Amino acid sequence: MSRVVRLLLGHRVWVALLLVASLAASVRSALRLDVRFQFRDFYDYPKNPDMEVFNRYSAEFGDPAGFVVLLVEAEDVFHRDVLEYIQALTHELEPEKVFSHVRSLTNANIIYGKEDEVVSGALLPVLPRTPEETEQVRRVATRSSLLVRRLVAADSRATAVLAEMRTPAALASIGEQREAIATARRALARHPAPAGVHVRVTGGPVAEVESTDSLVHDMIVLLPVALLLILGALWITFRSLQGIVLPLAAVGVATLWTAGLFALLRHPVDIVGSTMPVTLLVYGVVDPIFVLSRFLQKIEAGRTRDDAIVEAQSELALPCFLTSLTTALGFLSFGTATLPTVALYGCTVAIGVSLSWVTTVTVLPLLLSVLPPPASGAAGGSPRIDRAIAGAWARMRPRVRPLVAAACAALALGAALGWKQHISSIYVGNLPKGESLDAIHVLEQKLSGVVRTVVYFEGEPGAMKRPEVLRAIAAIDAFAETQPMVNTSVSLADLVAEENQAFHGGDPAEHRVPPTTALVAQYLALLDPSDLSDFVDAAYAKSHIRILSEDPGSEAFRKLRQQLQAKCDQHLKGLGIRVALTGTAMVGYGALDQIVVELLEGFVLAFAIIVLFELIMFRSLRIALISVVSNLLPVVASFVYLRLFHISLRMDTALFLSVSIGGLFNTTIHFAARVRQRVAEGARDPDEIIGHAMRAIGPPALFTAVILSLGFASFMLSGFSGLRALGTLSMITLLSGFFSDMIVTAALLRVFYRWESAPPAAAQKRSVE
Amino acid sequence: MRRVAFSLALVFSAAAQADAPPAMSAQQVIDKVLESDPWGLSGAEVTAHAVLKDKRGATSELAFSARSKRYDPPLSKSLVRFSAPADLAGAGFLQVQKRGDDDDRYLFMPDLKKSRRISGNLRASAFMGTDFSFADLDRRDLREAEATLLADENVGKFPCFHLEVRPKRGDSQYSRAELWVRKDSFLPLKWTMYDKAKVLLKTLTADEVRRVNGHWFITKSHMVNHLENHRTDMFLEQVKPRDDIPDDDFTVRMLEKI
Repeated sequence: MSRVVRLLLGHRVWVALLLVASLAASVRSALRLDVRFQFRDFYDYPKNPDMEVFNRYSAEFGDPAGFVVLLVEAEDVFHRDVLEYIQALTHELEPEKVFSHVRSLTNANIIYGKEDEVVSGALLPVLPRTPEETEQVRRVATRSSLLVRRLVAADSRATAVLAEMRTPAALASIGEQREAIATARRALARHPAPAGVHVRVTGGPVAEVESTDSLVHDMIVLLPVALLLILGALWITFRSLQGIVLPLAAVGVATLWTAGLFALLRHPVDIVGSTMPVTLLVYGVVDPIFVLSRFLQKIEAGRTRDDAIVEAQSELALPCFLTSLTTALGFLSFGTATLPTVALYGCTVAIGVSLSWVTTVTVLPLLLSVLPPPASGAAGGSPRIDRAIAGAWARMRPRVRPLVAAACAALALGAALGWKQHISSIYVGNLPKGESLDAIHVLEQKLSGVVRTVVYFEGEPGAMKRPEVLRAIAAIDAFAETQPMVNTSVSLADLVAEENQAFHGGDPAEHRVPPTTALVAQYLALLDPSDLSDFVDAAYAKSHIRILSEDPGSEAFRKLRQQLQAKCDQHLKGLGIRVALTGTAMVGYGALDQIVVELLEGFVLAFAIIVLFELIMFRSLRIALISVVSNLLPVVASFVYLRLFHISLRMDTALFLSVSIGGLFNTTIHFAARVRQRVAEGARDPDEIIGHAMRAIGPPALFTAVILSLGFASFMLSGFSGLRALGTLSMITLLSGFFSDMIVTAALLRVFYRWESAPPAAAQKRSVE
Repeated sequence: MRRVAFSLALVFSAAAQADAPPAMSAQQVIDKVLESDPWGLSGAEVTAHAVLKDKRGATSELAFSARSKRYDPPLSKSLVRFSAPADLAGAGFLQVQKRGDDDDRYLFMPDLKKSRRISGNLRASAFMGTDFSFADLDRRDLREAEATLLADENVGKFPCFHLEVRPKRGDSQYSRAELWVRKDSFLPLKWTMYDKAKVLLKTLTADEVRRVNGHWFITKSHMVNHLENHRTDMFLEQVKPRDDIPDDDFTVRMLEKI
C-alpha cells in the first residue's frame, strides 16, 4: 500500500487532473438522473408474472381510475350555477389532446324506466330551469348505480369532472401526468368557481406527481441536512476547516462517481434510491475520519507530511478495506432480489461503499498532500468517554452471566414480537400531508378513490352476453360492494341490470340480469359504443369489475384478493371464463409487499454472509455466534419499536435493515480483533482484556454510531411518513448496536470465548485488527 | 396580346355564368337537402347492412330492412327491422318525426315480447351501436338550424354547395356542421360534425350514389368517429322508392308483429 500511495503522491498533478475529469463526467451523467415516485416503477419489471395480464387489461380498458379529477363540492351540485360551471369546465377540457374522455354530470348518459316508457340518453341535454326539473335530475342521478359515487355523491354535495388521460395514467410518465394536471388547473383558472363552490384537483395522477415532487424536495433537503449534521460532528472532532473539508471531499467524490454510474443504468431514482446518497455519505465518511485521525497522530509524532500520509494509509488500508468489504457484501446481497428497485439499490450502494474506500486511499492522500495540515491535537478520544467505559465495565464485570441471560431473553422476546410483525404497504397514506392528500381523502369519502382493483374476465367471443356469466359477475360485484373499504364497484352486470329495470317500468325487483342471451344483446346494442366500451370489448369476450376503494394498506388488499378469488372460483366454475385479479392495487401492492419480503431476505442473506466472513476471518465459530446475538439485538429493538408504535413493515420502513446492515458488525469485528490481539500480545486476564478492548474501540465506535445515526436522522425531516420512520429506526438500530456491542458482545466474549486456547502470538500476526 | 387575353377571360366568365344554376340561399339548399332522401328513410323500402369497425380493427355487422313514409314534408315515419346479428333478429324500431315536439320512438325487443316507448334525449346516442346517432338520422339539426353558404367547393369532380349549419336546439350534440351538397342532386356528399367543444367529432362521406326511379340515394357511405376511432360503413343493398306504404305499417302493433 505504501508504494501505491507514494506513486500517487509522485504523480499528484496527473492524478488530480484525472480526478477532475472523472468528476466532470460523473456530474454530466448524474444530471440525467430522473427522480420520480411512480407506482409503476415498483411493479413494472420483466419478471413480474402479474404484468402480462395487467398490460393486456390496460390495452383493452385503459386505467380504471387514471383520471385527473376535478372534485367539485357545493351545497347542492345540481344547482343551475354549479351545473353551468361544470359544463364550462367539461367543454374546456374536452378538446384537450392530453385527455381522451371527459366525463361529468353534464355529458353523462342514463337509462331508467318511467311507467311504460324508457328514458334513455343524456342526463342533462339542457340544464334544468325550474326547481322541479332540478329535483327530477337529482332523483335520476342519485338513483343510478352507474352514476352515484362515481360521478356524484349520494348527498348531492360533491361531483366530479373525470378527465381520462389519453395515455392511461398507469402507463403515463410523470411529465405526461404533470401536463394533464396543469391542463386541468388552467381550465380552472379560466373558469372561476361560483360563490360557495370549492374545487380540488385530485386523482391518481395528482398522487404520483405530488409524491415525485415530495421526493425531489426530500433529496434537496435531506442531503444538505445530513451534510450539516456530519459537518457538525466533524467540527467537534477535528475543530479545523481541513478536518471538515478532507473527509467530506473524499466521500463526496465517491458519491458523485456513484451517482454518475447509477445514471448510466437509466433507472429512475425512486423512494428506495432516494436513500442512497445519505447512506453513502454516512458510511463513506467513517474511513476518512479514521485515516485523518491517524495522519494527525503521525504529524504530532514528528513525521513529515508525506511520511505521515504513507504510514497512516499503510496501517489503516487493510482494516478500512475489510470493514468496507463487509459493508459492501452486505449491500451486495440485495443484488439477488428479483425486483430491480431492490437489486439496483443493493448493487449501487455496494459499489458506492467500495468507491468510498478507493477515494479514502486516493483522494484523501492527494488532498492531505496539497492542503496544509490542521492544527495539532485534534484527534483522539475523550478522557470522559474513556472513564465512562471503564466504569461501565467495572459494573458489568460481576454480572456478565445475568447480562448474557437477559440478552438471550430479550432476543427471544423481541423475536416473538417481531415474528408477528405485519407487512402492509401503503400508498395514499404515505403521501405527504397537504392539500393533495386532503383532496384524495375527500374523494374517497364522497365518491370513489384512487386505488383500483380490477376483476378481469376473459372468455370466448360473445361470452359476456351469456346471462349465467353476467349473473356470476353480478354476484362477485355484489360481494365486492359489501366490503367496508370498497367505495364503488361497477360491472357490465350493473349496466345490463339497470337497462332491464328500465325496460320493466323502473321496477327495482327487475334490477337484475335478464334470462336470455338475446335480450342481453338487445340491451347492449342500445348503448352508445363509447359508453359500452368502458364495460366490454367489441367482441363481448372481455369484461371487468372495476373496484375503487380507500387505501387501508396492502394487508387489507391481500385479504380482499383472497376473498375475491374464492368468490370467482365459486361463481365462475364451469363457465369457461378465465379470471384474473389485476389493477394497480393488486399488481402494485403485490410488488411492494414483495419488495419488503426481498429486503428481509436480503438482510438475512447479508447477515449470514457477514457472519460467514467473520468465521473465516477469525477462524472461530464462537466469535461468529457471539456476533449473531449482539447484532440481532439492535434489529430486534427496532422491531419492538415497530410493534409499539403500530408501524407496519413496508418498503420504506423495512429499508432500515438495509441501511444499517453495514454499520452493525463493524464494532463487533473491531472488538473481537482487539481481544485476540491482546491475547496474542500475552495478556491472560480476561477481564483486563475485555476492559482494554472496550476502552480502545469504544470511543471510535461511539463516534461512528453517532455519525451514522445523525446522518440517517436527516430522514426524519422527510415528507414521507415511511422515511421518517426509517430515520428513527436506523438511529435505534445503530445506537442500540453500539450499546449491544459494549454490553452484550463484552459479556458474551467474557463468558464464551475460549480463553485458555487463545492462539499463539505468531498466528495472531495473520489475524485482523 | 394583353387585350386578347382580357377578351378571352370575359368570354369564359360569361360562359361560366350562363352554366351556373340560379343563385340559391342557404335555406333553399337546406330545404332541397331535406326534400332528398339519401338513405331511403323518407318514402322507400330499403334493405341494408352496416359494418362496424372499432379502434382495434375488430368488425361486426348489422343488417336491417326499413320501410318509411313521408307524411308531412319534410317529416317522415319509419320502421326498421333488424335481421343480424342473430341476437338482434326481430328487434324493431319505429320512429315518427314530429314538427315541434320530440319524435315518437318505440323499440321492440322480441325477448321482451312487447315494445317500449323510448323518451328522453338519446339524439346524441349511437343508433344500435353504429356511428350514426339518432340525430344524424332524424335530420332535426338540419330542420332547425341556421345555415350559411360558404364558397362553393368540389368534392371529387362534383361541384358542391358548401354550407355551415348551426343547430338551434340546445340538445344537439353538435355545435356546428359543414355540408358539401352536390349541386345537381342535392345529396350531401360530405358532412363534418363538430361537438360542443368545437372539436371535429365525425365525418360522413358518400362513397357511392345511385339513381333509382328518378330518386338519388347514397348507397355506400362511411361515418368516422374521430374521437372514438370508430367507423361504420353503410351499404344500401336494395332501395325502392315508395309513396304507397299505408300508415298502418307505422304503428306499435305493426312493430310488435314479427
